[in-house]
Amino acid sequence: MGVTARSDAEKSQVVIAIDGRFDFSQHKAFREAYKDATGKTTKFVVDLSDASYLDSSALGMLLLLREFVGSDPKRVRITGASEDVARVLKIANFDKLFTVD
Amino acid sequence: MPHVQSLSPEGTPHARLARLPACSRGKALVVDDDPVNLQLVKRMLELEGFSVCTAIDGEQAIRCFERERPDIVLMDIMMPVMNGIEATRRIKAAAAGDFVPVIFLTALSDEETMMGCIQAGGDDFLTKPFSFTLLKARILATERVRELQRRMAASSQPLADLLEREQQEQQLAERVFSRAINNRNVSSEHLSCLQTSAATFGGDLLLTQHLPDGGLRILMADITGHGLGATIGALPVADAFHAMTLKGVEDAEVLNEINRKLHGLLPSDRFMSACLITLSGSGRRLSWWNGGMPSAWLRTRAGLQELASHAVPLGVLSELPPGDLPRERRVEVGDSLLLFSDGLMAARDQGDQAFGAVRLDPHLTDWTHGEPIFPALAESLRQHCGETPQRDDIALLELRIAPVCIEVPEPESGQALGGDWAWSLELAPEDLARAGSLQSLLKPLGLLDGIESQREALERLFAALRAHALRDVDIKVLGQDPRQSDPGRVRLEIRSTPLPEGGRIWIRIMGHAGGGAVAAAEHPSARQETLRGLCESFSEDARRQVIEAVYRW
Repeated sequence: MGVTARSDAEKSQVVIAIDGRFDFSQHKAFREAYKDATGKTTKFVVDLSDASYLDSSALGMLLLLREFVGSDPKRVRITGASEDVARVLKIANFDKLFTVD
Repeated sequence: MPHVQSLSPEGTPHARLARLPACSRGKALVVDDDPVNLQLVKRMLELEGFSVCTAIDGEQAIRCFERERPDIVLMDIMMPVMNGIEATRRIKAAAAGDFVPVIFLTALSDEETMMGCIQAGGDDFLTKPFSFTLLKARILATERVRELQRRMAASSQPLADLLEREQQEQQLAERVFSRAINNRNVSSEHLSCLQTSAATFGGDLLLTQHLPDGGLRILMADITGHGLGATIGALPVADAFHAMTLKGVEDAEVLNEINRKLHGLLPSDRFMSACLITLSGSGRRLSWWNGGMPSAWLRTRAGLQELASHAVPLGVLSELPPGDLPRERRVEVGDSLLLFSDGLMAARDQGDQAFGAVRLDPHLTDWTHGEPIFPALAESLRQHCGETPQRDDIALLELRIAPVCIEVPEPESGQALGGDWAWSLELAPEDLARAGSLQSLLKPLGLLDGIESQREALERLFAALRAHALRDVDIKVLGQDPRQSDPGRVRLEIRSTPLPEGGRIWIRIMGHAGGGAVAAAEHPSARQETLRGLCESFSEDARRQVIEAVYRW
């Protein structure tokens, strides 16, 4: 359970992996995962392979990350969403705001 | 029989008293029907720094407890009138949240008696005879527990206050919500709704309002977050929805306005999922927009149609993307529309099972054209939830399609005119934005008599033309001459000519000729396209500041 961030300085990329429920309880850890990165250049990958659930406050956290990178949809990639998690992202049409695969 | 063996093993009474000021440890109540015991224990406690009150039976003990509110009680068991166990039970009940230790002093040493002491609420017991040291030790131990309890109570007080405040805010949220938002909704025999609130207001919003053409507009929405925060977001949404709908403003305009308001108001991680439905007065055209809500379902003669979320929720982006426009369907009498919030799917039963697609799908499958889905679905939900408190709001609505869903009261009007007339009005641009529908401007003069069938189309054309004039063309006012004291105005002209069959109506909005270059002329907007679809011909002359639409039927 929780949020782990792996930083790849060479590729200027941070991978944030969510394990378990992605809800308000992860708010602080998720924010910590990107706040020290350079918002202007770093690319982010949010890895949801191990996320079992995602609620509207998690969508809110993703929107904060989007704001952090200056709203460039190419700079945040969301990967590995299971069927249930992908459905929540699809209903919110987050594929128009992020790169979702 | 003297039970107390040693009175003062550690020193003289006077030495102890010198070390401990009287009453420094609070007040003790000693209860014993044996006067010798009573005096001995009283004396011991006084030496320990307690001020002591005494009672000789249970009833006296209770009265003394209520009067003196002691910090500790030493209780004999076998006493006349009321025994120690019953007295303890009552004292513990009277102490309520306050922890007052009760130590039993008993000659009975069987296990059953000891168990009875503890069950009655006693905290410890001492078997007579006992030593002064042992009594002191027990008192110290219970005092420690009492201190711990008091510290905990003191530290939980701010939390309790906070909870209390939170509850008050919750009530405020609900009050504001029901007064400012729900009260302005309209009802209709074609609408069935169900709305239940979670213990914490969950941010579900259901708004309904008439359009000038007699149609009906519905907004079902879910603001992220709970409580007062969600209510604050709901207020401007409801204001914009009702005001703009009553004026007949187009769906896209309403959505843009609500989106702008929420984007400016809410923090970046909050937004509003919404489904906006407009049924035209004729009951033949249904416009829908879904941004982030569960799919709405439309049952037509042809089958079941899913109106799935196609747009980004409101308040996320500063402007709605051009692709996220409302969509339209032709509908007919007997068709029906089902809307719900995600609280329906998440509704819990006693065993924490969600209502889910498993329970919804059979209702959709069994939904016959011309029949309502609402009664059976609502009953199914009621049975599922039972008395289980819900974590989220639930909103459920069915709209049965029929012509002129809302009866708009007809204003008094004069005798029907022949349809050959011209009408004009000069007004400030901001008043053009505020001016009501064509109906409210022309109907009282009887100018719309005989052309009721064209009303809906004319209202749409007028609303679109006005929006175009104000937003895209940025129409300049007429009275720009600084020598004129007149405030600036724009001119609205409407002319009507009867034709052998039907007629023709010109709607023209004029500004100040030479008012400046107009960007919209070079960049056809989505609104221009909409306008062309609404009338026979549409023209605009940026230099002359004239926009004109001709409608023919």
